[in-house]
Amino acid sequence: MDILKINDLKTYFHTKEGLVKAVNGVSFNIKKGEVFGLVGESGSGKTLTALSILKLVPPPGKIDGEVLFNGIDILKMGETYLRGIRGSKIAIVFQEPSTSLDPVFTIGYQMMEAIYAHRDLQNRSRARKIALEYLDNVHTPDPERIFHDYPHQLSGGTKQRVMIAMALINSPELLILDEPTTALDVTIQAQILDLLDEIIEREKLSILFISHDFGIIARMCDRMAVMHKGRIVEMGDKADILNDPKEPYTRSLLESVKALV
Amino acid sequence: MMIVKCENIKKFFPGRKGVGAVKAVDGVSLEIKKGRTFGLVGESGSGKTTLGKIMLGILKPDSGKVVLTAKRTQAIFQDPYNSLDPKMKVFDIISEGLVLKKEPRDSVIKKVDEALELVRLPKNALNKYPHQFSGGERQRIAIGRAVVTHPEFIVCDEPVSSLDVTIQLQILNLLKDIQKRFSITYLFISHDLRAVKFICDEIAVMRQGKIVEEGATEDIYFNPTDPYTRLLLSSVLDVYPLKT
Repeated sequence: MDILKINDLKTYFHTKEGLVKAVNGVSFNIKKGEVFGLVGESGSGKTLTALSILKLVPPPGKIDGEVLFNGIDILKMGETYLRGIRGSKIAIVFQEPSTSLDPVFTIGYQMMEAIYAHRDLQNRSRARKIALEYLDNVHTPDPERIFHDYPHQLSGGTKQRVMIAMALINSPELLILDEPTTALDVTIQAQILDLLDEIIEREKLSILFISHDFGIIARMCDRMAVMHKGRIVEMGDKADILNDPKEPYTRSLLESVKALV
Repeated sequence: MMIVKCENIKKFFPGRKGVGAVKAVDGVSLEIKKGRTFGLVGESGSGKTTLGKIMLGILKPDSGKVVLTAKRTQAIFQDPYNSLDPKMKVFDIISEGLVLKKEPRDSVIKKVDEALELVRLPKNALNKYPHQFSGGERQRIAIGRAVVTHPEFIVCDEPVSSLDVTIQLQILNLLKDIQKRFSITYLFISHDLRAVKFICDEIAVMRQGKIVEEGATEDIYFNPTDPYTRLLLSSVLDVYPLKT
């Protein structure tokens, strides 16, 4: 059973310099409970694929194709429906936690905002309890303190834990992780990946994991796709692709990875 | 022969209200030999960059001594988007160091051409601006600007951290080639243990302003003795061998 099925997704930008085909006919599916990796170099179209899924592409971007979420084509739906989906049924965690959080509000305020937006709940103390519970779920050192902290008072690793807590707070079915550990030190990255392992196991989440790092994809994913210039050049089982890449582009990427091991 | 020697370097930055002083570099001694690549490894905030700046004389240490035998030094930074002036053409960027030393015009042109060839950029690059290049090409420009003055010692501060892995490999190989031809000494600052292993002869691991372990690259990589070094190494995610 596919939770997400993307058919011939195209995201084009009409610019003064001409037509930019950022995503150019991408198709893939994610099964329920699967961790699907999307790997590629910068500018290959990974992030725009993720943004297109939630119809969050900035203008003048135009999206075409099909994004079937539980069988419903998201791209055909209106803003009201989309607002109900974003941050609720489908949640996303971006690379840079410091730009994802609003610097002028406390962590607690921003988490409660996410709760109010999607749950029929206006009870402050109840929302606060849920927020604290989720801060605890992602093993932040001191949930009570962090609840009252502003983003700049937290380390990069803790901020990313908060972002993961916020993504999980409305029990999403699909979680999109866009380079969630790229801005972090390696030891912190290892901790966050451990946390994600635990959450995936516990919540039985379906994941779209975007990364430029083959090491992370190898560690986290079941199936994977390699993107290059807006297209998927190779897709399949992780072990097959990493051990026996068929496409020259995948091979050349993996040659560089091997040289730096 | 050694190029740089640091003796018990300390550099503290005053803290703000309620926060103590930041001990960026806290008693570091090390020696870098001529023609070698010395890796300074550590996570963000460990004091790597501060130490590099002290070696170049950009920052003054609070205490300790730096003995620098290199006459000409240079630096290459992480982010070529920030380290190149967007309003200057590539020719002006690369030649600036020579112009400041009042080199005659024909010698400047000759040396810039040589530097451009060395970093394998086409000649028409000289009349373009930084934004017209990719990240890897911009880092080549930064390297060209560094080598044009024929430095003996270059501090490379995370020179490949913002690049894709295929480009990383190209830039690391370029740095190796240049070193071979001119026997330049590098201080290679990085948090990326893979890049460090690829290019460095010796490594020092920094944590909270101190060096926790130091030695030949192979020794540190295969027989780390310090727990923090072990933690760093175990955090590296290798694709191979993949056992599933």
